[in-house]
Amino acid sequence: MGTITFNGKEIPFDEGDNIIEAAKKAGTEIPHYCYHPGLSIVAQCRMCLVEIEGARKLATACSTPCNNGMVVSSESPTVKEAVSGVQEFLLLNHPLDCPICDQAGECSLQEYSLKHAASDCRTDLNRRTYIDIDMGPSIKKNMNRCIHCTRCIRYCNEVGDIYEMVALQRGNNTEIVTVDDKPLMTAYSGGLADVCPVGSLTTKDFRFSKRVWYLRRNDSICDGCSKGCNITVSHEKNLVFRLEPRENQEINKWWMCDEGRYGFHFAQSPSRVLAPAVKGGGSMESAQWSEAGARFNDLVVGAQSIAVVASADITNEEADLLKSSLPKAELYSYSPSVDSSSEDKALDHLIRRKDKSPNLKGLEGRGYSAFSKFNPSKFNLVVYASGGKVRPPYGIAKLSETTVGLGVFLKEEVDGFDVILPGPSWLEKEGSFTNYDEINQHFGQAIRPIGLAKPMSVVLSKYLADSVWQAG
Amino acid sequence: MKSELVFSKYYGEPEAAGLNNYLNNDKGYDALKKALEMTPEGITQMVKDSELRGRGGAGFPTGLKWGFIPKTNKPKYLVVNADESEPGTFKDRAIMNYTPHMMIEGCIISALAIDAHIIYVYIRGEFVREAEVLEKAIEEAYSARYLGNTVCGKDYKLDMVVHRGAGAYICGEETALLNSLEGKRGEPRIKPPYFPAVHGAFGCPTVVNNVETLAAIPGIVREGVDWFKSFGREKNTGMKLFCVSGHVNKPGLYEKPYGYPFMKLIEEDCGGIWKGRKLKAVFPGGSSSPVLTAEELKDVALDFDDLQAAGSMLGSSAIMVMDDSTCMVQVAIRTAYFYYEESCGQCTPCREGGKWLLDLNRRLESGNGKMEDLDLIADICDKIDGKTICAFGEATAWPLRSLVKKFRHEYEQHILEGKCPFGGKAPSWEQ
Repeated sequence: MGTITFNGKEIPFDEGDNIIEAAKKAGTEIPHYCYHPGLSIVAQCRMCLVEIEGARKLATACSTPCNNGMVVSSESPTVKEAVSGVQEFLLLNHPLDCPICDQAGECSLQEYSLKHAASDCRTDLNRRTYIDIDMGPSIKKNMNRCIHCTRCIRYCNEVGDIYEMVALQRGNNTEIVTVDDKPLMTAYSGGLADVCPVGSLTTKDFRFSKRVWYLRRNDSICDGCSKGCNITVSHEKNLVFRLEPRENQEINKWWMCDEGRYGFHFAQSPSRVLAPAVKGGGSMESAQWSEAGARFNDLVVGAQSIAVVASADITNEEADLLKSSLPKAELYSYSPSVDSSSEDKALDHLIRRKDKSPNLKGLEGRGYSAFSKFNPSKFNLVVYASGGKVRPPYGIAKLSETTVGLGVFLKEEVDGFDVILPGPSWLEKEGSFTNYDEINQHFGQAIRPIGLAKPMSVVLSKYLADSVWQAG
Repeated sequence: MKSELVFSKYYGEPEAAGLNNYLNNDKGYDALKKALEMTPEGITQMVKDSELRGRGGAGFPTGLKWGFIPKTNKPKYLVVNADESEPGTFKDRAIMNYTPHMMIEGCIISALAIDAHIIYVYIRGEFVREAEVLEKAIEEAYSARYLGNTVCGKDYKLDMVVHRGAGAYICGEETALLNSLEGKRGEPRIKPPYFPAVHGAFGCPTVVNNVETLAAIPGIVREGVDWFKSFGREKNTGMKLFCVSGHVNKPGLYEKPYGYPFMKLIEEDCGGIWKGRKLKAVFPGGSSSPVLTAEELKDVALDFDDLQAAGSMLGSSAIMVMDDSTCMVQVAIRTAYFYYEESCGQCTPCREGGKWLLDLNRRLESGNGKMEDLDLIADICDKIDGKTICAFGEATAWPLRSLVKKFRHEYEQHILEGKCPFGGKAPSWEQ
């Protein structure tokens, strides 16, 4: 702990802070491209140049640790001129194709051009161009836009832990490529689009789908595995466009895996069942909520023995609700990759875990038993509750006399169910997940329920008879 | 001015590179025997007293550099910077070719002084013959037990390894050299740490010295500090190799004491400017130094301080002479092309600015330049100078800025006439 004088003001810093971090805490952003708090420091974009009293040359704020009593300026005329010079150099070969660039609107180059660069252009020379080679299914490269900050290279080495991006050639001809032009292998390739400060690396998933300034953002938790990464959901007009990691030093730091990042599409799948359905004749037929609800109630009232099988992607609140609304029922949890959380383990050095459901720990804590103990012949009604991420076990509906589906289902999965009552996916509801480490994380609703889906609380309170609730 | 041939005695005689010649005629390895009886601190103090300055370009006091080595249990390394690639420089090459044992002896003494047990010689990739000669000399030193498990019978394990570079100018920068030595991309490291003495090769304390600096060590140890200081002048002591190239009658390698008058070297030793022409400009310390005009050169002496006062630098003492038929814009193109080609591409100003300077100078040479380009060139240089990780930025900015500043009339002539007044075509290296 100590203080530095920054632009004439005394600001505190924590041990090990560099000038960028100290300034950030005091509310000032020092412009930077190559610096990322989660990656090693290379100080090569030269954008964060600051003047330090007593130093012969300008210093980079990213590579200079704070020293007590240091006097730093990021606003002196020398610094301003140097920074505008760096910005001009970076724009020298940038194609300025912002109108067709996905990064526009959240691009550091754009932002800093406005803030720190001169308004005129002093070059009329040809700009440098590259030919891009495909980098695999996740990432689209546009090398012409690259500013050579090498964040992507360091991301692959240090976060992805696979040395698969390199700088080829040198000097003005430096080209950032994957080794031998191979497609990316890392399970974290989507993060390249996050760390790239410009539009050079964008995800193919999000590319050309939305201008970012239309997007609204909500904080949420990833439902892809038991890690519980913190994420930001970007959506517009009730459609989700992308998930991005949100910093949480205790869980996912700054990162998330591709499985989680691209895993939200099930919620907007064209084959998702969006209206209640009941079994009529041989196949499922859509029905009114009143009809399907009444049928559900009849089944519950008439059943001798009930089992609730909850896939481990429902929230803790929903699990509690099922427990209290069906007091006679026996409770089971279902996760596709592990039977109980004791089998869960880390799949790699960083984030991914074996248990591909977000809330197994939460369900276990609420008295839900392992799926292996589930004996369908004992029950004449099975209520299968699904949050959508975990696909129901194959043929679950055919194991017992009657089966009710509660939550998110795809059309190809509903065969054999007696009633389907569509519910919201995790994007469309509020709740909490308990991760493998027993950290209970609450998340908010990002979008309204899609189609005729109704929250579980509404379904259970509206359609189940009071006698059922009170039976316990 | 007192003078004696130390390095250049055998130039032109490749057979003199052998160990026997060095032992019989040059009191070879006597200095080492003397050094073995001294303490490491004693050797360092001796070098400090001699005021020997680094001969790679920066002129940093050698003894001081050694003194930065911390006392730790980590292994320490001596790295010889033999990546001589500053345009116009050819002194280290001659030392390795003709007097390799002088350098090896210097290396061994230096290693004793800093307690290093491995010496890496990072030699420029293009120096194929020099690497061969040096490796042969090292083999001889091993057989004569100057290197290996004992040094002259003293229980001190010392190895010497020649590592060939892959042809990058930037690997002459000491931290880029260390990266390259470690097998990484040859890119300079960020400062701080300012000196490899603390965090050098493989994260251990390291001294990086130039070939000529190390070759000067045996003389100091053997003949004494006073002998060494009898050459040159205060703070610029010893004999020095000057690489003279360009438009003189007798270009070549000249060994003179520091402080030797520049005009005397050109007029007397090099036989004056060729073809009876007049001197126009000189790069006194390789292409990275600011250019000096004939007027500025009149009373300049060849040492670190005098050239600095004249607005340039001694650098690697590569003196490139240009006569009055030289088009300075073409000189600028050639210089800019070199720095464009050799930039490692880490820092934005150097990577982008270098190409911009080249393109502007090319356009000026072709006669299509604009008046505002001249100020633009100076401004680009200002924005590169001092804004980069290593000194490569300065090396790009200084010569090009000095050219446009000192020969502005010539640049303007190109613009006004719409062509090169020297009738020069674009140089032939252009694609």
